[in-house]
Amino acid sequence: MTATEPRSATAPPRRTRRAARRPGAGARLLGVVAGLVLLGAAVGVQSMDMAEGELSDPITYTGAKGENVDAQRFTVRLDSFSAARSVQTSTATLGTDNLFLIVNASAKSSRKPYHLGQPVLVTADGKRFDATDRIDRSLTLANTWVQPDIWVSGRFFFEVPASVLAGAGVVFGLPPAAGPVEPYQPEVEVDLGLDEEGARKLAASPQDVFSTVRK
Amino acid sequence: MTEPSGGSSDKPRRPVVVPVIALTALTAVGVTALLGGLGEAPDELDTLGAGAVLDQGQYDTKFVETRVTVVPPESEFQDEKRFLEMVFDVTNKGDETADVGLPAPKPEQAYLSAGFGASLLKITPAFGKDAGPFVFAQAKGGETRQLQPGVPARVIVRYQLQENQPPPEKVSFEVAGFEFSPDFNSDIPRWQMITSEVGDKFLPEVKARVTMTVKKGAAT
Repeated sequence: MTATEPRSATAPPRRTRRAARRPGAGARLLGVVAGLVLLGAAVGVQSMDMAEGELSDPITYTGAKGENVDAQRFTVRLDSFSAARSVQTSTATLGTDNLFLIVNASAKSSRKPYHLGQPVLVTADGKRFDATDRIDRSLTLANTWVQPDIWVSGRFFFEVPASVLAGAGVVFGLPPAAGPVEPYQPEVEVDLGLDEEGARKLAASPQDVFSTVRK
Repeated sequence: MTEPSGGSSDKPRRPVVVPVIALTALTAVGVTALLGGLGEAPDELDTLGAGAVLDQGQYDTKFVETRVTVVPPESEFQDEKRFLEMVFDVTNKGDETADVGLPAPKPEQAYLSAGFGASLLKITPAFGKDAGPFVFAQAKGGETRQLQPGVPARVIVRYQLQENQPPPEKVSFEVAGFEFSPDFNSDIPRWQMITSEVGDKFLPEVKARVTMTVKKGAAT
């Protein structure tokens, strides 16, 4: 405060002025430092600012294969996965130039019944593959009601190039709803735990025909 | 005696020309700038044919061919169906699965979809309402409506031909492009058709015109 005080019209003796200024210089330096710190903090806080769209992003609960991942509204467990060259349904055998990835999952809900949506395969470089539409939804877990505290199991089918498997994960969520989009929807992301080696192994030995026909 | 006068008459000539040109050029640029700059000349769009490749932003598209396909009857009570098929090789360059889409009935509705098919505009000749279009991507031993990211797919757009209706000689259409831009409502960037606002309508900007002769005989 003394540093910014207006000088009195009658100049004080030199000594007192000096004595008054010295702590002022220190305070000024402190002020500059504090200002810089605050400025830095302000810049730092900006980096925590949510990017466009992040505000409406889903809340993702992550887990590993075989774990029960609780997403509050529902719990999903990715039990296992396998690869196949073709999938046999009751009407046809579907081939592919890529690879069918069959994901076995279990789910239960917490309070009310839900249907799960078709999952999405997220690759290491951020590409998102929807579960294939070539295999009817009725053959997938998306067709089953997921009820409170009752575990149900089923499969999901992806059709993806073998090259995207390394580092990929599967995201389970609720099906897209009509009308206004609800923010912060829960979703479960499970890493398949495939490194380069594991992905190559999986892609190298796919099952010839995966049959969905119950015997 | 003549030398000094000749020298003096030569000297001023050189410095005059350069500033005059400079001044003229500067004035021309200034006047142009004041009048709002050079207007962009309307692009003369090339007409692409079969085999041409177009970068649509979201998709890399090759216009393969147009042909007539005969689909055998599924049972003895049905007749065989004939389709006019437009064949495309499409690679989805986005990061997410895209829809094969459907050509919009009106150009002003096309921008509502980011599906590939919606970018096909003003398909001529026009086919009847019940003729289609049917759009799908070929998958080994089946069909799909999905264009997976980075995976090339063969997309078929079909119109059914009536009995005894001769297929057209050639088919032409316009193609729109897509850009990854913030959504109007949520600001989240997504693939959208490039449009220009005309009146109260959003009309797609035409990226290319395509004319393909309809292949004959090679029908399967």
